[in-house]
Amino acid sequence: MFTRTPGRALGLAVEVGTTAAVIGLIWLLTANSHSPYIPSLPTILSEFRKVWLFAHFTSDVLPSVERLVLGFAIAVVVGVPLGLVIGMSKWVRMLTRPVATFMRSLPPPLIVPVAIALFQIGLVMKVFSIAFVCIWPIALNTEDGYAGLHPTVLETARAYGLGFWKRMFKVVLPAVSPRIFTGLRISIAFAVLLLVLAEQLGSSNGIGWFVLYSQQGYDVPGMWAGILMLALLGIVANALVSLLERRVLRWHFNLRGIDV
Amino acid sequence: MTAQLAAGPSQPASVRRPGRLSALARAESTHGVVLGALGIGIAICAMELITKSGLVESRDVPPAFDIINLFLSNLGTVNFWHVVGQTMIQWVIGFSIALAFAFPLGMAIGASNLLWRALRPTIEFLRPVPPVAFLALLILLYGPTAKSAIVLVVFGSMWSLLIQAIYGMRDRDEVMLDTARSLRIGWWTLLRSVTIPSVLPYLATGIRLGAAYALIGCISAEVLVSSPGLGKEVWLDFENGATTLAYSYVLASGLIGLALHVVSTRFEKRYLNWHFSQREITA
Amino acid sequence: MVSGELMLGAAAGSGLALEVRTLGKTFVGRERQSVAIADVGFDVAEREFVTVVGPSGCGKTTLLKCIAGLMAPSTGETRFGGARVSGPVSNMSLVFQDYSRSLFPWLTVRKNVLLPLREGTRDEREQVVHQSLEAVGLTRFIDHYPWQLSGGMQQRVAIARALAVRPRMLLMDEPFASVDAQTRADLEDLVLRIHAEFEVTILLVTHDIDESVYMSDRVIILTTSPSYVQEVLPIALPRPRAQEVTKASPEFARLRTHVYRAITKAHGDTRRSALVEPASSIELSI
Repeated sequence: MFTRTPGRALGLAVEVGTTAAVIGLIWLLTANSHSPYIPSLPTILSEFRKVWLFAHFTSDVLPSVERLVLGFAIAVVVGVPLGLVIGMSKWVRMLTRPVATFMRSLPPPLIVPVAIALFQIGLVMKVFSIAFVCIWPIALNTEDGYAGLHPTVLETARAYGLGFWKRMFKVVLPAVSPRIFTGLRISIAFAVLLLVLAEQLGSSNGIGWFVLYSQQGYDVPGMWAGILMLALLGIVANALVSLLERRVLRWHFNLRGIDV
Repeated sequence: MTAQLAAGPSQPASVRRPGRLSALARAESTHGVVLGALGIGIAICAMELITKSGLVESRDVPPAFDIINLFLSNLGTVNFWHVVGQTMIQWVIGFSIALAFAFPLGMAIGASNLLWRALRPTIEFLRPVPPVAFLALLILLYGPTAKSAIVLVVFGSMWSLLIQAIYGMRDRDEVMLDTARSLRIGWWTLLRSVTIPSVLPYLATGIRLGAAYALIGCISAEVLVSSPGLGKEVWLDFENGATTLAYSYVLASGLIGLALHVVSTRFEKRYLNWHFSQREITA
Repeated sequence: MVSGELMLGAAAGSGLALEVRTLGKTFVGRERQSVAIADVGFDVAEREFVTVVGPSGCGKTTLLKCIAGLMAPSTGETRFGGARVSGPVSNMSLVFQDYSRSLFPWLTVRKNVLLPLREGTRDEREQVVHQSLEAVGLTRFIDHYPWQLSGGMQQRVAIARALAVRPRMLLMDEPFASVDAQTRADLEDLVLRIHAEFEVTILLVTHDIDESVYMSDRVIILTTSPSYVQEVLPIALPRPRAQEVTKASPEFARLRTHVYRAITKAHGDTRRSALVEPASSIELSI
């Protein structure tokens, strides 16, 4: 199928038009749905406003965000150095290879029951679940990033007498950052997943908890308001990481395909 | 010593050792195995230490060897395989459904500049929505059944397949396409000679990613909604205080995940071998 | 074998910047051992401009890396200013062939040149950066990113960076291999100017014969791997050199042919030490 690329104005119109059409479609489908479990779009939206602006905002949105941020931050702070260490040292790599491979293959949802068994219900359990799962994609992508560094980059750093820490922060980290961000993008999706699971399996507040609570009480509009909020959370979290990436990696995107 | 032709103008002259890997290479492989085993040993010891020292507030994290023993003996029970089978069936069905519709759909979207332009905002917007969010709805709709799990598997894995298909189509060589167009090649020949070889590596990547997300979706449903399978088993065992059993199932799940990872990575590598792909997505 | 006088250099007595003694490098791989450099030794006097030429694969880059301290030689040693080289030396700057990987794409030109500087206040360092960029004619692009510059310009930035630390010696690894002929000529003249103005000692590795003769005081010709010094040729062309004038002179032609013949001989020479397997079918790639 050969198609010409639409011109600028036409392209924009097409984007907006299709998006509007999709929303319209959802509207139609939900409005005409016979299932008691799928209310109409206006109902959902009005419930959304009722619940999240601002009745349940502080009691549920903030705790969820807090857990997400904490867990993710820990994963980054632990995962990046871990990835670098594994990448730089052959014997560390060999030492950790089997254990790391097993850990990253453990299905993430199972971490929550384990975390509950270990830490009982509470903040630690949730943050641990998120952090533990997110560390691996970050560490592994960082490791791959280091392995993919062209030797000249490091040789230049050494040749110009940059000390170890200066090398790390001014050369290695920037050079590996594109791959680190790949890991971040993957991890943030896992983070949101783990957050929802943790809140629905062992929590007394949070957006995820709210969804389950509403569902158990057959508050269908409420449940949907929660689902919508979760969707929003996923979108926003992802968008923030992408935005950060675009900012930090401006130099990389400009290179257009030249890998360092 | 056998005479050795220089490999090419840029190769320095070399001396070839007869037949086997050099001592250095052999040492490296042994090092790898030894260190790897050591790593596992350290991990197990660490686990023992942490639980015994009271750092973790749990009453009974069983010794690692108990877990391993139980796991091994479980391998002989029918129940174990029944549970594993439940998960695998849901996984297979869901993933097949996703594969059947998401990949062709992605190819169709990717083939048309207009379609991609039109649908891109929608897809990019919907992509980061966590499928788990809909589990509560699934409980209402289908209850704690395999169906819920399958739906989640489909939603979890379809994005990877869809996106990879789109990228694959868009990555087709412009020159090849132009050539084909000027030669007025029929769509079937185009598909065979240009599209499919170009898209195959992306399919392989999509399958690797999708398979992993499919398993995640499946087990999420099992843990949360109690669809039959490993997730449900682990959750129930913990609830009932059968912690060793629970951990043995966790171990089993990890090994299944590992097997899946190894197989899908090998599968992908076969198709990526000759293809210059800038995406090395590690998940 | 090469006479001791030639080894010592045209400016004998003015002090030696670099002494390379029986340097050898063998790579031990999984299945084989390759002797890149068998035995190379030469001296470079202060403020001399010495070029190392040789056929492809004679280990020129390896040699330079060993001299620069980036790689440890298997045998022999390098002495810089009398002291043994065991790692990168602050007074010795290296300009790599691959500027796209050597310049850091996440830093502007300014920050790239600033990076190796450690002494002085912030202002003093900025000054040095300006001066270095002025020397290569790129002050206008100080806040650009490398990707915004052409290949030749990027290499200039790399040269500016090498100069910023005011090195005693400049090592250059086929610095003009990745640019077009026109830019190459400009860069050659730039380096000659820098050699004169900054009074640095320069060791340049290249496979371009014309370049080796045009730029240097002495040309060291290596054999193919496992390499050793085949010949050291003094270049008695007058300075300052100029692209048209110098290259048109009969002396230039004579020297050039001499080097060419030497390298051809190196290519064809298959009977060397008993340690080495006969290397065959090596292309002449110049």
